[in-house]
Amino acid sequence: MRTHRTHEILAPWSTARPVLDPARLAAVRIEPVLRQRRPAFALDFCLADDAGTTIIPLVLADPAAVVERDRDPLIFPHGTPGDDAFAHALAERILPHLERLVLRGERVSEHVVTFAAAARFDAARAAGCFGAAPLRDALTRLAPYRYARRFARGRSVRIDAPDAVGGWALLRAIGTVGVAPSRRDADALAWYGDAPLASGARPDVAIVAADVDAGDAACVLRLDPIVDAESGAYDAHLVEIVDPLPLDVGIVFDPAEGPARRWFAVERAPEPAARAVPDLTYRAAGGSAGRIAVILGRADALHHPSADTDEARALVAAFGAEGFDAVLAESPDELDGADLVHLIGTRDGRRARLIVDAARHRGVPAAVHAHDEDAARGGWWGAEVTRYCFEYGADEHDVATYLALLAKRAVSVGDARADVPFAPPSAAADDAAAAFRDAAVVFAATEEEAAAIRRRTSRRGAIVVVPPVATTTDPLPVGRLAGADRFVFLHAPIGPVSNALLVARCAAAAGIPLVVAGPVVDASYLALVREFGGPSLVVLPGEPAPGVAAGLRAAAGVVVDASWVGDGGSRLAAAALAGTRLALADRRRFETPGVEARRFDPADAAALTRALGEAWDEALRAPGRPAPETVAALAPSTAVRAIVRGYANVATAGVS
Amino acid sequence: MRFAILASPGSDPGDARARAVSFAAVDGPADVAAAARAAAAPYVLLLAPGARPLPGALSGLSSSLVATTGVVGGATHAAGMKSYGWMLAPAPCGPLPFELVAIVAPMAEPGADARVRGAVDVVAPGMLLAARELLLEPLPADPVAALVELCARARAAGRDVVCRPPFACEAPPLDADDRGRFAALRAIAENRPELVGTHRLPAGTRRTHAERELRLDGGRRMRVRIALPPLTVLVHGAGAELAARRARELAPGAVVRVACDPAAALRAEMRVRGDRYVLVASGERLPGRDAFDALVTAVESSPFVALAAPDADALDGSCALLALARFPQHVEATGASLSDAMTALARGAIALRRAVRAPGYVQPDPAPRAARRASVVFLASSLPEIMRITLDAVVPAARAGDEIVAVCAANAETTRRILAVYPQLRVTADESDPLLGDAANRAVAASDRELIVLIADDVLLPAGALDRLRDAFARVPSLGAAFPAVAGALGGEGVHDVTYADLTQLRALAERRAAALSGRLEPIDVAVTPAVAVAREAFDAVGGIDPAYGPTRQGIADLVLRLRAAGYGVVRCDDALAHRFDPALSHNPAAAAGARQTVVAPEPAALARGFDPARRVPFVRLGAVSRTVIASHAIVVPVAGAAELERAAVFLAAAADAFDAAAPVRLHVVLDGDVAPADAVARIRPALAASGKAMDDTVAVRVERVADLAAWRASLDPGVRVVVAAGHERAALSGLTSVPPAALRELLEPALR
Repeated sequence: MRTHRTHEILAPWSTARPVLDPARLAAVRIEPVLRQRRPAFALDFCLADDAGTTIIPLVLADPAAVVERDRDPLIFPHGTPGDDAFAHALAERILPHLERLVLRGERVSEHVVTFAAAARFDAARAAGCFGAAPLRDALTRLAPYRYARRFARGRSVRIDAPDAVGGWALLRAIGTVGVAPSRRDADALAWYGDAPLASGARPDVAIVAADVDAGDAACVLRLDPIVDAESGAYDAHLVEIVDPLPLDVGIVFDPAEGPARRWFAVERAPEPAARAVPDLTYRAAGGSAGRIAVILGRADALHHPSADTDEARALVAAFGAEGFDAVLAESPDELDGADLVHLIGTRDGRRARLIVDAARHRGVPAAVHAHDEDAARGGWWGAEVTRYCFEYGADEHDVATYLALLAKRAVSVGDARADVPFAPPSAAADDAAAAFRDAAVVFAATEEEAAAIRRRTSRRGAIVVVPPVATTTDPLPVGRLAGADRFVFLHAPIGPVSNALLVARCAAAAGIPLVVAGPVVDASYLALVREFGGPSLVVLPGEPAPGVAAGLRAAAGVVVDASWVGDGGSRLAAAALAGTRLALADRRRFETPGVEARRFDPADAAALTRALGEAWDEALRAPGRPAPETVAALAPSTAVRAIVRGYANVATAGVS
Repeated sequence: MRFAILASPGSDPGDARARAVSFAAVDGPADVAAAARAAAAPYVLLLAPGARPLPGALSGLSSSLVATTGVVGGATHAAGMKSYGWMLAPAPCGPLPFELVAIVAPMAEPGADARVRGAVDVVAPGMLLAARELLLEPLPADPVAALVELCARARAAGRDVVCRPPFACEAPPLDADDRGRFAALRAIAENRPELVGTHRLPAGTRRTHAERELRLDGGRRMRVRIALPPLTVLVHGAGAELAARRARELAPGAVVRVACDPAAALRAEMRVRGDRYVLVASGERLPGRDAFDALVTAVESSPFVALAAPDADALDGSCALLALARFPQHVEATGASLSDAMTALARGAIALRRAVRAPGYVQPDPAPRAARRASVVFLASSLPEIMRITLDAVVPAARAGDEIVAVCAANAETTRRILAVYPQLRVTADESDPLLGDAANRAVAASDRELIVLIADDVLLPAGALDRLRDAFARVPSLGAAFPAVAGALGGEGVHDVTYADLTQLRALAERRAAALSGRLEPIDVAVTPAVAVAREAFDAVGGIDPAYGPTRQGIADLVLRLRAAGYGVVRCDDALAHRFDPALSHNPAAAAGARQTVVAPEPAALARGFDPARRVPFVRLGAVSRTVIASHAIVVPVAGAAELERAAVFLAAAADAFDAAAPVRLHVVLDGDVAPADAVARIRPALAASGKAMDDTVAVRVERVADLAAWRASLDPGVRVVVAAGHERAALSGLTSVPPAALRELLEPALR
């Protein structure tokens, strides 16, 4: 039986003893969907006998394979009951119909093939239940409950809202869920199972309809609240449910994905337990002068902020406090009038060289923050090929096989091979090397990085080792976004370089809740992250406000950085200062006293899963707090002064 | 031309600004609509963020505008590519009624501009000229959805949407963060039911190219642009002569034939198939260019579409396009009339789970296929120990209705004794071919089963493997041949990610693969292992194993090539893992001979040319039954070592040139040294085949091992003139006349005179 572990909403379920006789197949619902932007079929199987019902939702089929049969055309969801013979027999019953649809080439719309009278199925379809109704409706109904997963883990939940029984089905595995008596719709109970009545005790989480009293639950979700018709305002955190375009856009709360179909409010949500955070108030020595233009090595760094952007902003703020006239320039055209140009990162080699040359032409020194990991040796390769392991792997076996090949570095796509240096043209490694050679001073994160730069670029000038400059924004509340429990946090632009897809897959496999936040670089990649990220994945698309990012870092048990090409250690330093455990790709050049990060090979899913698991266990066992030596080493003032000392050797009279 | 410029942030109209009636900076759909409402000019030049017209972009634009012009797009240059817009292609299995197909070309591709000029479904992003009235209502925020909506508005208003490549600009590539695009497209589709996909390529490109879905290794499919396959048009009926002239315009290089007997003409045309189209049309119903494009689009909509017609009635041959490569060789256009022939083709296609696309035609369900009974042809020539292992696996694999035919050399007494122990076997001997090719072919010919399994005795098929090969034919009716996955094999049947230390591990691994990779087939174009299940009809169509090679690497690869060229699928069954013993261990003559052969994957062009039935290899060698020529000359070619074998090959090649089967000459390759008969045969056969004659037509050659040359010479027919190949150094042959290769033609001259 081919299986998939994608788009997890509800695993196959039975309302009584599982019905595993293919002759009892009552109905199959067929819906054309988009999977990875390609047409596919999603099928829901309903088997029924006198005692109960077994539902196998989201069986996927590739239309081409339905006719070509080079694979079993049906890919069943993980957890499908029965054996291969059962799956085969089910397939045999529906494949002639699918084959007819594909061969005739006429437009397919959502429909049901009925094999036997199926009153429960018909009623569930009419009630918009998942597994019987069109996904567009069913997903919209279940969406608030999916959001509520982040609040419900290990807690008591009372549901007094529409689709309560479906909500119970979605949450029952993670919490103690009860349904208000008036919400025990008979059709839904017959479909999803016998949802228990909510007890009279005060629940931890209340999910209620617009007109229902939520009581004194610590966490309250109110569905379909009445918002101000004029302004759309509501006195709570409103969450929009996007009209789904299954499967690529399933249950999604990102308004950029489409128009809102409905919404709900997170009226109350407890915050994660606070950790003791050291006082990191920046204390400037002052007395400096001169104009410093800080500029980022990535052309889109302000559009898609990453750790380098944070570092640049932190640096500009610190320089300002020290008395410099510091600006964050967006393009090399804005460097006029600077007494010193400080380039952050060299990922775009051409741009880096252009900036260093521009500084030389203006007769001012250029300082370069290297952020160098020799990405041509495996970094760009991984960024290029990893997504293909998921896109070419239509089922779980294929994905696992491709990931095993990835770990062995046996995957190649075009010129991207692991055994030879590879970089996209924009990386322009030679130009980056020239920028390193010609810069007045280079800042590296570690001695190892400094040595590597010397070796590779033949640089003879100064390379100063400085710690990354962390941002020290006060954290804002994040309970309504991420819940009160610890989670693994990945904060990076959401695109192939971030390796978020592999992290999401591994976190899902290990059952570890993951929050991914960052600007969306590639929407198709984001769809893959959602596809493989499991039900506990929380995606916060778009760069969070600095305070929210700080809050998420402080709330997280583990911060993971699996990027193929790093953007410096600013966010890692901030996480370490917040006492959060670190799980880092072994390419990352980040070392600091008092922090023992879990390291992994970013190509190796098993190693990544192991590192996540170990860091997660440590985080749960012993809530972290930063060691004094960590604070001493990573305090922003320490880093900024080291940088200013680096300037001292090369700066012109304008900078002092 | 009077136009207003609406410029998005970062765009720069350059020289165009001086020619515009007005200029407004806009940011977002609402701004665009407001500015369009405020503009006085009838046209609006809309610049996307960051767009800059290229020099001369607006030259000649005004002269190309007509009253019906709605939207003019051009070429947007970005990141080394030119984008010309999109076509809306059909997407029957998707949730949207169309699929956006980008029209792009590398910047340096010659002729691309000319191919895309003209009507287009959606213009390129960057810069466009639109009738002002089309912009009065806000467009969707997504840039691509906005263009789809704008062009749909234009068409709904009866205006044209065209691509004019010189109207070019530079603009940043579209943002990969396209969240919301599909939702916006769905909203457009819901509002505009008339918006359905029709073509994947613009009209100009369709004349020379098509888009075809290809399967990549691993099962993923993608569409690639291909040159339009060659087209033959068979025009028949009234007005055919006149229509034939028009038919030449349908595609470049189209071959047009006026057919008095269209059914016969179609059969003749289908003799050699290959990757090409045949359009059968009556004089009255010959399609125009657009209608022909629609047929091509229908045929290329999926790789399993074999036949398309503009309507169900036209399937009688009044207008139908056939993709010949999708009709395997045994599917014939039988019937007295064209209608009958077309019906036979459609029926044959449907039976093979191919699609027939014609509006109004309801394709019947293919009849359920019965399980195929198999004839297992077991080639026994390895060491007995190896043969016993493989035979013990094959015999229990037979199912009710199957038969097993064991083939061995006539003089292989030990083998025959072992085979005799198995009552299920029918044993047949090969009198002349040490590689057993002749007897194998005869066994194939004699079989009345629907599946032929050819398996050498150095290949071990673990339990269940044969069943899984058989299952593949039930799932894929167009299958020609199925190979098991063979660890380390050099052809496409080879798998290289498996390791096992012994046969026990192999069997365990095979069981695991059977479960994990159940039903997985990987299409292949080349295979070399003599363990293959072949459909009866496919074998009949392409013939047996070429006696020039026997069941060696080359022989199997040749069989696969013929099957592929004849339109049959050949696959590796990943759920059936087989093991082939090393030739050093098995002493299998075919394996030993094959080890010295180099096999390369066939060129795609070779497959695209199709299978010429003249290349069919007869199952029974004609020479074996009808040769009655009495030899008057015997040429001795002594071979003791490798060097002499090479020399003999050259000599025999010359002999094959000089003589044919009718010549009263027999060559005796006598092996009096280390060379094994199988090795000699493997080397000699290609040399003989190089003459270009079929093996049955080449000069008779006998290969034999000789311990005592003198005794052998003495045993020759005294009435035959015996000569010897020049260059030998054998005392026993010293009295014979030496013949160099160059003098072979003169050998018979006195006799012939």
